[in-house]
Amino acid sequence: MSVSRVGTLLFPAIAATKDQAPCLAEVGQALSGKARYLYELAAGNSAVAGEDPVVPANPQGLTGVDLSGPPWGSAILRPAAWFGGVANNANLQAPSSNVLEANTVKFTSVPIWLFIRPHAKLPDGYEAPESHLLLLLRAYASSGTPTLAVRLCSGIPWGAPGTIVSDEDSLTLSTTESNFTTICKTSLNPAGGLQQVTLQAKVSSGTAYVTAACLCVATKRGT
Amino acid sequence: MARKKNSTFVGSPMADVDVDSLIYKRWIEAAVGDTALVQDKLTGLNGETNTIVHTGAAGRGCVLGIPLVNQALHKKFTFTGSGKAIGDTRVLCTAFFVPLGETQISIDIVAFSETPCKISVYDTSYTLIDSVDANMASTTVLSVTPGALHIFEVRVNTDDLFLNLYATETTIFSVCIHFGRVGGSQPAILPASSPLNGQSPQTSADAVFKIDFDSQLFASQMPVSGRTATLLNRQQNSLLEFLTGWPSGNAAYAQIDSGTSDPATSRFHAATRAGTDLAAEGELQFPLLCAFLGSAMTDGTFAVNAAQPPTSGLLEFYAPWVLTTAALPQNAFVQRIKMPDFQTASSRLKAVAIGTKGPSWDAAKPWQATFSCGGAGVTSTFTDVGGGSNLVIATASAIAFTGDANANCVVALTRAAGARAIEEFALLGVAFYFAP
Repeated sequence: MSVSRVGTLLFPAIAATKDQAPCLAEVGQALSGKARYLYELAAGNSAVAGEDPVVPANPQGLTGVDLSGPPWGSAILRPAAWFGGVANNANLQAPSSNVLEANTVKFTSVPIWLFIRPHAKLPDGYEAPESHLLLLLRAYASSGTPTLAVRLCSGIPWGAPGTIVSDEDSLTLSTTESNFTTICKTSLNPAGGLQQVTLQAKVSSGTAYVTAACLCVATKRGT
Repeated sequence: MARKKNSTFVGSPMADVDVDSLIYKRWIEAAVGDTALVQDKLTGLNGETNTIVHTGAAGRGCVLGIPLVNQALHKKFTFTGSGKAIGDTRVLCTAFFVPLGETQISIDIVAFSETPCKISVYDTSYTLIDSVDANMASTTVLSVTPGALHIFEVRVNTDDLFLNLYATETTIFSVCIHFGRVGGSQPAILPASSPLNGQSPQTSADAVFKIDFDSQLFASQMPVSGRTATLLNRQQNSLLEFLTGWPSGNAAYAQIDSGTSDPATSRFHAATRAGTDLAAEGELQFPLLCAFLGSAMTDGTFAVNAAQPPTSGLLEFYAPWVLTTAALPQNAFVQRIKMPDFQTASSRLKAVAIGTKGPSWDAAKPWQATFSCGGAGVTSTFTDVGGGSNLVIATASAIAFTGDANANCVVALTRAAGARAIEEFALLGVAFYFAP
């Protein structure tokens, strides 16, 4: 790689940039190099025509911050995968709007395949926003106010098949279709690509109907 | 004051800043000008128009690669009963917006099927852009036009009807339409502990530590100032954290948003236009939600017989319509989603819906769609796509929403009062997207 203009991610010590500090070449190298680094992360291309970028490729294999979560930029809150959506409306002639019918016997499962945008794997202790999608639901019960247990399972190839990797949540339903924000999160492979998660639900009595489900990017920088 | 800013990146030659090299003032002048350029491109300050909008064009930021469709269906596509004439069928059809910088899409259909089909993209006048013959369960790539609305369809070939779709079971589990980039590096571009010499913004509302250096600092005979170096260092560290969203490890410079919900100030590059100095921040073309709602025949008729309820045809996945006896309007699509934290004062949220124009379509009383996303709805009339498509399309813009909030995306259907026939109109697909 030929580079005519310095590009570094050095951080000079505080003392090196204070008034009266001796003017060291390394300060110039750090400040000049960081300017190029910044430019390429922001602009998405090499700062100097005809030269390769000095910044490493982002998770997409391209140059620059792509807002896929730290350190490649703050993630954008958004729906990442969805199930259903035809309104549960008696005045609409449509096939069943239910995406899942939960019973009391065992967990009912529906797999969801989704294309995950590649993103950085964060250090231990942090959850990458695009790896930990939050489950939103619309649901109702056939009668009474039963409890709906919902959870997400990882799929192939990231986790062992059937491995429960999410938090399980309990929702109190009614016969009126309502919105629910669960605490269930997925665990996805940061390498991206087509991946699978499984939505599971079981109800305490009667039948529960999930009419819409959405996995969302719910944090900007992870937690 | 003449603010020092480079119009394009200048940088410094290696030799200027190598160990034991002579001290040149020009390196710090170039670094100050380059950093000012980055600051203005990120914030839109000082009249900078080439802001970072992530279109992939030179100097405008890397494309985002947000998938267009990630929809689970779990529907069987089997014609049942008698009374519905078969023919060419649009088993999947919707419209979506392709952001600038993207020239092709990848389509992954996860299905239990070997049914041959034709997957196509058209412009909004139904002029073909690209198509491919494939199996229903397939991964294919199609060319698209950047920055434009498209009509997408998966059509089953008549010749294959009895051999496949109608004779054996076809189940589509999920449809994913995306830009296909995976497997890039996973580098840690920043140290686990963030930069030294971080500097909090000047006020609690500031997003970046903004410094304007006077060009006179770099005039002939002027000394190299330690103050210039220290302020430039702080400005660069601030911009680095603003850009990368990586605030951890530096307690002196822990940038956080002003609130956990709908923050008035975002300290990070996220196209929010929230907070001091970010009023002119670049805005993004951003796909939000796109859904397939049901099938229809290519001649405009429904995929089921014209009865309420239908008894034959593609009974598990036909395009929904409002009962002819129902009052109007009626919700046809509801999905609960998380909304981005984009500015809401001048909403860039747009939507498109596409439907089949049935044989009973009344041109004097066209159907309308009202799009809403947690706020007031915007109503738009379906118009003929033309090109022999038997499709109608409706678009809306400036749809109200609340940033950083969960909301129901809703499409309601209505029409002028009067008697209605069954096969007037059915809704095939909808999409919501941001496009400044």
